[in-house]
Amino acid sequence: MINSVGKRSRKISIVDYGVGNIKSICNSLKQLSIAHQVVSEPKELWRSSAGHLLVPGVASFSSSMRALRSIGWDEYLIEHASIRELPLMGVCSGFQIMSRVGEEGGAEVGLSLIDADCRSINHGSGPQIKLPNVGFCQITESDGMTELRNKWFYFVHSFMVFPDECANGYDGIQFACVEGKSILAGIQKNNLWGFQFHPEKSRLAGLKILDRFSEL
Amino acid sequence: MSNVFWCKTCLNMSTRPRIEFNEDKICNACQWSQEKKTFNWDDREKELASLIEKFRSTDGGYDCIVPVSGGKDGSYIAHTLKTKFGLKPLCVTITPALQTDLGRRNLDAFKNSGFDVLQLDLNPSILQELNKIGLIDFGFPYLGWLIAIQTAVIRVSVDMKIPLIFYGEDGEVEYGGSTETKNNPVIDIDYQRRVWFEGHAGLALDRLVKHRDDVLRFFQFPTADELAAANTFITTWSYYEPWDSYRNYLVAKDFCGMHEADQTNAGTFTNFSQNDQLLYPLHVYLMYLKFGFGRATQDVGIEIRRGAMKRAQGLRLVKLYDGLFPAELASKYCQYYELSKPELYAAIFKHANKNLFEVDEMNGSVIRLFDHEG
Amino acid sequence: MRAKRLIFNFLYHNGSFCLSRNFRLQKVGDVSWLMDNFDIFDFSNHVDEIGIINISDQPFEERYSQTFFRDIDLLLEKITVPVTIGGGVTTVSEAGKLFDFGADKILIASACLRRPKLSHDITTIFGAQSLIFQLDIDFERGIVFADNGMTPFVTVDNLPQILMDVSAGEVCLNSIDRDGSGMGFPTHKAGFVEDLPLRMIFSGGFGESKHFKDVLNHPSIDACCTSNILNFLGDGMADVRTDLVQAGILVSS
Repeated sequence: MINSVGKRSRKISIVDYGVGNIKSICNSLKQLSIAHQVVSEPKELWRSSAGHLLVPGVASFSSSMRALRSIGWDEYLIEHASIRELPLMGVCSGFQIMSRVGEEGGAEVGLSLIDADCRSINHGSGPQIKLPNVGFCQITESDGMTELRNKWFYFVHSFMVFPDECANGYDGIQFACVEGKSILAGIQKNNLWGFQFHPEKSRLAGLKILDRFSEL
Repeated sequence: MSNVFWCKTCLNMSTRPRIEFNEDKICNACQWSQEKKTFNWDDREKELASLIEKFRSTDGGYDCIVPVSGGKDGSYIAHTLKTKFGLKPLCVTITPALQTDLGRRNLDAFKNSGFDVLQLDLNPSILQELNKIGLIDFGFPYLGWLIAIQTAVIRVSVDMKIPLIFYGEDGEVEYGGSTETKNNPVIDIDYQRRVWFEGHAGLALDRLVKHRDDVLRFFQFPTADELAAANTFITTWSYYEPWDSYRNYLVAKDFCGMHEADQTNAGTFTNFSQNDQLLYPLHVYLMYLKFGFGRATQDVGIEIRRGAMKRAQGLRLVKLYDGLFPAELASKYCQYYELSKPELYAAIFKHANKNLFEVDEMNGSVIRLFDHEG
Repeated sequence: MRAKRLIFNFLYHNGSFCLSRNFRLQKVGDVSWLMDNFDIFDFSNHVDEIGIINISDQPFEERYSQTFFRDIDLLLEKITVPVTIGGGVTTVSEAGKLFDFGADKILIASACLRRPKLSHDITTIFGAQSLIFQLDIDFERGIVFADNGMTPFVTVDNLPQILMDVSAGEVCLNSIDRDGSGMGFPTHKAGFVEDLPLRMIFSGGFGESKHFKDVLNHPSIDACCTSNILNFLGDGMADVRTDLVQAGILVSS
């Protein structure tokens, strides 16, 4: 195992906004002996800070945003990440909604936490790959979290985050290569972490990311 | 344990009686399984064809005898003789002690697939006494039945004048042991007594309280004169074609109605062999205590040799299943042998090889003193 | 180049995990036996995906009982790869229940064979990647079976048409004749898949790593699936993966 029981007292709160299955995230944290709770309404977090917050995702960009908005999560996530500057991690569509706008399921405004838009993987020039992109893909480029390089992670998506070309100032950015196409795999910026792949379904390599996030 | 070793290909142990290893520590069963692949079976096939023609009945009677139990091997042989060679075999079965329901159902299914089966229910008290002597004196808990499946079958052959008998495989050649029948189709009585019974049959019969030749007819081999007069020819099927018990299993279930057990068999990882009697798990447990390998080791060897598994995979299964005492059957054994539990355990554990195991008879714990090489 | 995948299926039948040989079952142990004897967490680190196939012959509600969900929850706690659940799913809402429980994909055989529309309904709602369409085939006799190998359905000549009619992210060809035999998958009888633009999984017959190598060397085969709980639990899949890497086959690690 990666760490021992009771190593830390930090707790990760998992945002349950009703669109995805959060069991595997909880199971992964359990394997890591990381304290965690599932939170379905943000109002309690407004009162007492959540500490680490994790937004899972398996739905489309637009349905994710609509679900978050209907329970008032959008406002809290911005408060949490931008005002309180607390650790926030998004996974798959939970990562995509950090960008300004998304195309999947109809154009939808995102949380604008990062200078990026979410578009079809085959948007723009470059090789066109078969969608959805499903399966374990290897990280071929990794700035920042160098330990991710050459590791394999589980992806299921047809859309991905395109950061502005001028965007810089990321602490880390990772890409996978699929059929010759570069796929954005993750971004880290201060307290913000986002991954297109599912760390909770990516064996030990994925668990290590969750472990590191808990120590952020 | 420095003198104990394991085959480099399968997991046969150097303690196995009569087993031979080459300089690379590969056992004779594995060597033979390789040899079988390139062996010129054409000659053996011709030998079989001429044997069959020599013994084919001219008067519409039975052509040969096949000992069966409703299990995969006998069923395969009988089915092949009937369908491929057009023979009419008389199948002979000796009802075992503590026969299982599955054993009964499989035998019925086999009959229903179109065979005449002569079923011998031998005097249960003699069978029990022999089995008990086998357990206590030799660590062979179904010795009586083991004897009868040779002696009674041969007796039927002589008395009914059906001289050709096909046994299945010679386990010595196929699974490790003596290689003397590898190139010799004849299984003579001397070989059976010496190798298959390890000399125990005669001793056990001598010790029998109810020793009377008239009641023991089916437990004794016919005399040499009788056999010569009857022109008896005893042989094993594995001499004539590459033996493959998995193929036999597939044929038996497809054509002879054979069914596997629902559960994994005691002491191993399979469910399709030796399902007919409750004494078999005890037999293989005693084999484990005497030699350090059990039913799982035997089955793993078969799987490895047919290319269905690698040694490392087999080793995991051996560690998981070998040497599990069939505790759920202990009361049945006590009842059958008319022994108390402590007497039963004493009878079992006295056979444990003290170089291989540390046995605490009081609480029935058996500690293995050896570790399989990686 | 995509990595080839190794999939392990647990066969679940009324509380027991089973080994299947030609679709006949051997109960091997219950969930406690499984958890006591094997480190499922470590095991799942050496496969790409895990399937849990409920092969009881009961209707959905009884088949997916509280006991099933309780047993499988214990497994899921230890599994760190995507999970497929299947067996006896006949409607979209039944599929939905399994997704809600935690399945990443659903495996359906007979129901999609009989009603290809079901596959379209499911993939429209849950995405193409959410469905594995399994075909149980006796390659020896050239017959596709429905109902867990009980009902002969069509001959294999009809497969290209069937595969056109069904919408699924992946297709799994499961060999009934080699199932549990350890004799390898009958790749030589599955040549018809070569021209199909589908992600193909071959299942059935895998006994040791050589059998995986033989199949994965084919460019058109995406994945191998085994459910031989006895041959491959423990370090079995880890050893297979190592052998594949040594043979130059790209697998994720």
